[in-house]
Amino acid sequence: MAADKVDPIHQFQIHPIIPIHIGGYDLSFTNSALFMLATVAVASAFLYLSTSGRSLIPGRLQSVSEMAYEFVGNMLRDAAGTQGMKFFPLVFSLFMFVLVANLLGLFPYFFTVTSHIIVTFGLAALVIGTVIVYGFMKHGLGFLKLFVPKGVPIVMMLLVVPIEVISFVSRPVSLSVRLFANMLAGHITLKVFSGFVVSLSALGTLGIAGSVLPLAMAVALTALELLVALLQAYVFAVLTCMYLNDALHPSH
Amino acid sequence: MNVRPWLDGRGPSNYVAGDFKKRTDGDGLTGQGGCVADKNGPDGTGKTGRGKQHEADIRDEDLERRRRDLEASLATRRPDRLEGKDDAKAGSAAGYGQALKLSSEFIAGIVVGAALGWFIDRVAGTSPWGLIVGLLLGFGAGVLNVLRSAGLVSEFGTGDKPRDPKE
Repeated sequence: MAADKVDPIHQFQIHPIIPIHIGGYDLSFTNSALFMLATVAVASAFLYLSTSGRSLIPGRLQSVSEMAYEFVGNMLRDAAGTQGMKFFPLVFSLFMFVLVANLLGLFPYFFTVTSHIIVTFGLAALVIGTVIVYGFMKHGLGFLKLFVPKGVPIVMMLLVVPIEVISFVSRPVSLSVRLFANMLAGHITLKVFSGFVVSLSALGTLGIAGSVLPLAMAVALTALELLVALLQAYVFAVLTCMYLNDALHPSH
Repeated sequence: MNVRPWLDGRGPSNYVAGDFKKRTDGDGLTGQGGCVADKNGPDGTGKTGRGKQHEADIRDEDLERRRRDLEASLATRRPDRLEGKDDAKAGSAAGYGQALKLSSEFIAGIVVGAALGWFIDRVAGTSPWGLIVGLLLGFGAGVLNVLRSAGLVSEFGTGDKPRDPKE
């Protein structure tokens, strides 16, 4: 019923705004790209404008920026030690990007960048790429000790090492799937319940009275989605810190 | 609501425990003669020291009772219901997050194992053995991922207990 009117996954469609084709590749400027730009612009503008006052006693906005900064800083220091602070720009950028993208996605008619797995996988691949490149740069082949648990008999290595390798490779996958699945599922649920409101209220007086229930649910879900948006940005950043810790200290 | 005093912090609960212990000793529940004598002391002539102790007990008990009354009356005024609601919501959201986290870890292990096996098949032409072995190893890696993210298995590169991240 009314499935043609309320399509819960219509919101995830990508369509080109400025078509660009170079050498057979479709490099169009899409709505996804637009919202990525908007995310970067909003995050940068917020951080720049809120800290431009540089008052000793921070105002509300400056306080928010400083809290975000210290939050990520403490997280990184706890997970990867003070040596990890050289990755602070990376972690903080990732955190702000995911956070702002999630929050922007909550606005009606806005596109949620992080609800596409290729975007989240891109971010996760950046993290794991950093871990691998930095790990080999810093420790050389010693980085491979990451895959060899201490105190395991040689015979078991045949089994344990492949499992450890798969486990390592699966990290960016689970990192990206988690963020993407949370955002996708949340937005679909929200859309479905909002759709119930529309289709129920088309049924007349009784329907309008009944549509109060899904409306209340949609309001509650919006609050939950806000929480999930914050939580997922936090989880992404925390796991990034943990993986960077592996690059810094592959065995200890 | 009765739980509230214990949640307030270490101090009061220590205090209550001490008081409680004193009282059981006084009642002679431990069956020690000395303690019974303590109890009897203030009733009869009694030593001044014991009397003071008893007075202090009474004062402590009185204070404790008043404090509990205050807590109870405060609890009725506090927006307690709202707080409980918040807790419940946070709990279910945390559980939901945990469930998604663990399932994504498990699925990622299997998918990556199968994909690696398939890729090896493609490159080396060993179909279907790469996929089979990869899938089996992937299940192993999935279980390992879940246990690791639940903190039950050591982290990468360590042979012993889950390490303290502050090391």
